[in-house]
Amino acid sequence: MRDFIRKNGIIVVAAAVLVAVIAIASILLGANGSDAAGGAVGALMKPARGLMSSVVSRLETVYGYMYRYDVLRTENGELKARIAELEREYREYEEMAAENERLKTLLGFAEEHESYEMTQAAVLSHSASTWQSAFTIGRGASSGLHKGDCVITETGCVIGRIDSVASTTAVVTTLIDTTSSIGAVVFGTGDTGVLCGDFELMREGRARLSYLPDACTLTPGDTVTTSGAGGVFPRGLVLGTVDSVETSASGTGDWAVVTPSAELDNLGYVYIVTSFGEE
Amino acid sequence: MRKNKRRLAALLLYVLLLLIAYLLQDSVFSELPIGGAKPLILPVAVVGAAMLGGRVRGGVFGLCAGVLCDVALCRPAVLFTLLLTLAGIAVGALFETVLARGFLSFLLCCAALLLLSAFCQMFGLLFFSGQKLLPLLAAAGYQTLYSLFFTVPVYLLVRLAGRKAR
Repeated sequence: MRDFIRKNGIIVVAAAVLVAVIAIASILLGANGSDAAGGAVGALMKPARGLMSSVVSRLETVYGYMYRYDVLRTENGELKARIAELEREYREYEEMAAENERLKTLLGFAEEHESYEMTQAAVLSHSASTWQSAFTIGRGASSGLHKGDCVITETGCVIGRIDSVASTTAVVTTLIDTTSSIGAVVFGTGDTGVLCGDFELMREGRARLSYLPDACTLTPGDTVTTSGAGGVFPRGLVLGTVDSVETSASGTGDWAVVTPSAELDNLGYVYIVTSFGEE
Repeated sequence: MRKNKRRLAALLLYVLLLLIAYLLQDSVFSELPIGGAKPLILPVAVVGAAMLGGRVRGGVFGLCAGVLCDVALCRPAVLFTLLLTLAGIAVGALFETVLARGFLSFLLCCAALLLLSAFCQMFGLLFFSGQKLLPLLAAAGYQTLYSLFFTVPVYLLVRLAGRKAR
């Protein structure tokens, strides 16, 4: 300590004098209404004050947290319940919005085809069989459904037809099933054919357009619609689009691979055309 | 009294096995195809029941499982009712006379019944619809292999039921 004072005594004394002068000056100037020295001191003390303020604030938070722990826990539980409730409401809202959108589309389709009588049905389950493409719907004979009725999406894309009917349920076979056979016409070119189920293509979710005329001019991307032949399906409903055109192994005729426009693996609701007139 | 209790317990286990197999086949794995194939679990359960209970119980279980299988598969209408009833009787008789009650013989019986089921299912498509043989065989293979996965849980369940019934 002595050594320190001996070595730095002058500096220490000068600093003490400087501090005293500043203090006296600030008191005197403060009395005259000016705060320049106070501002200088304040600026010098600002970091230390900030640090102290932060520490105190933190201590207050911790203290408050410990003191109000039970209150916060209850509040947290209530907020979690509220979030769950809001999430449920949001899901319901989304479902209703999707339903609304579907019904709007259907309304547009129904306005275009006023003669159609349609019934909505939910898809209950898909067939457990490897060998067929079918699903069960939650409407049956009690809702006026009959075997052979045409089943479509809300946009009017063909899904298939009703294969068997119970009182409250019905089995629908899709247009790619091996038993399916629908009269078709290629939109634009006017080429006619029959859209048949083929087992190999069924596993890929596609079907075969057979019995095309010799001079057919269809190309990949063409839209295939129902021809209305046979009277089971109304005319002009969309079946799908042409993927590729092939020539049979014997070279006797062309056939095409068609991908259905309806998403057959992703159906929630379907619409059954129970009757339709000529338009 | 004790015998009646054992019989009731065995009956309940059969019903449980039937319901579990039906629900898994119809509702769960019908939505989870592998290579386009869906598994048949009820025939595996029939072999298990026949191994445990013999030809009479196997036949009755096969009849019930066959009806449920036809309901689940939609068509053809009575194929599995007939096939599984006969399979239940035949497998039960085999386990009563020739076969040992082990996993290997159980697996072989399951494989045989599943292949026969697949052949019966593809019969109409092959001979009446004019579908190509190769895709049908591929589907039959996938279906059989997928279904064989269920032999292990069914065997364990049947073995447990066998111990409880004793």
